[in-house]
Amino acid sequence: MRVIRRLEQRRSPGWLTVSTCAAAFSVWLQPATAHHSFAPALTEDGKEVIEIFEGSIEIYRLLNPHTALIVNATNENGVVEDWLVELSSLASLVREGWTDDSLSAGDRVTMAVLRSHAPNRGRLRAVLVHGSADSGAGRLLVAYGIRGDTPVMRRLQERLPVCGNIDPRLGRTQCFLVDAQALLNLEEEFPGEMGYVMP
Amino acid sequence: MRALVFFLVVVSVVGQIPARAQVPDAQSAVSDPDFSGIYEGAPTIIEPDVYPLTAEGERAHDVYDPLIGDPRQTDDCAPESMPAILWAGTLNTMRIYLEGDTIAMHLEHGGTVRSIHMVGAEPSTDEPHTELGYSLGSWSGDVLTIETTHLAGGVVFTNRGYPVSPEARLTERYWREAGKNLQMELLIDDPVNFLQPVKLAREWLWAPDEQVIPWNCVSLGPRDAEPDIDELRRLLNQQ
Repeated sequence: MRVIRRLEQRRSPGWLTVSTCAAAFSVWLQPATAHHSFAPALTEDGKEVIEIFEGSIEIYRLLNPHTALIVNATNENGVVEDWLVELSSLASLVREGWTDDSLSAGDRVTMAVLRSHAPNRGRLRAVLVHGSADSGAGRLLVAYGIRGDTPVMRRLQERLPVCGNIDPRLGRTQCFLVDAQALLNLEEEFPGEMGYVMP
Repeated sequence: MRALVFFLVVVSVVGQIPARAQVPDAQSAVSDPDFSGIYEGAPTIIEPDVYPLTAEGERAHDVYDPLIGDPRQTDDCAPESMPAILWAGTLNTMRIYLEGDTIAMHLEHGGTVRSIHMVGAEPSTDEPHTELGYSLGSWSGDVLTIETTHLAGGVVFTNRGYPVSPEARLTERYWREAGKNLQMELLIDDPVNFLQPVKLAREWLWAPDEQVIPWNCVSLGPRDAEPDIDELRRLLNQQ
């Protein structure tokens, strides 16, 4: 995208109009070109691997530069493996409304993780925090790969009420309330493991 | 007689002109602008469509892999370098404040504080090269100009390999057009890597209701390695 006009409108002290007109400039929209901060695992056809697992949260800490979860995940063989799952920085999450209570040690979860090529680590795509008889509806928190005006985000917004504690203006994460019936509906409409948050 | 009268007239006229105080330097005669406050980097960054790389610049650009070349791949808390710190992180919150003879720029990402030495504080002959370099500032009217040298070298953007050598000179200009937003232009003069100076631009939005959140960095370990969960447990339980 040429932005020569924008530069010409600026009063640029000491900057020659001639050189401004002669140069071609482009606009880099920083959020749109956000990069992975790790090497993702890839399928044979080059797609990023999204790992789905059941487990429980052992540790949740809001941190800079990466918020951290230690998750005790049960693999397909029924063996519990410990995972490091990362989220965005404390600085961005707290501005959206995340708190130390957004997740809790002991939460039973189904998690979708953008897997790193390094074992047992990845970035959180989505986590379903299962409700209980005491807590009622579960919560679905979505993050990496879903944030912003994406098809998956729109899909969820059309079907689920929001928790109300996440400010959507930064467009990075969101929290949805998911009761048992809503979960059944999602699983029927989007089959497969956490099909409702898959691309 | 006429000369005496003329002289007396001149003396009386001159005597009516109010005396002006001696001004040791032009800047103290009128107060410099004050850009103190909190800003958020606007998401749009204007950069060249094509970077005019030298042969060495092309080589460095071609071999750069952020998953290897970025120091934060092994240590989350490795400091960012100039100019990459100007657009590091998601929100780019920055606080500018005066601190004695310097202007401080506190960037939230990394808890990074740049010290801009104002006129009269040239770098010493044995000034080390560091990630942030040595920054010398001056006012020209309402425009703050910052010259930065003595860089350790790095890249323009952390995730793209446009190189910046230790010989580079960065010139930033900050000014206000309307309201309190700051316009920023950055000129990268680096003959090692670029055939001609490279210009980038960005707006910093006035954000008086924002705060610079303390960074308090915690490294989760090398990003290309299986995590040491036991060590992470110990570390995270201390937080």
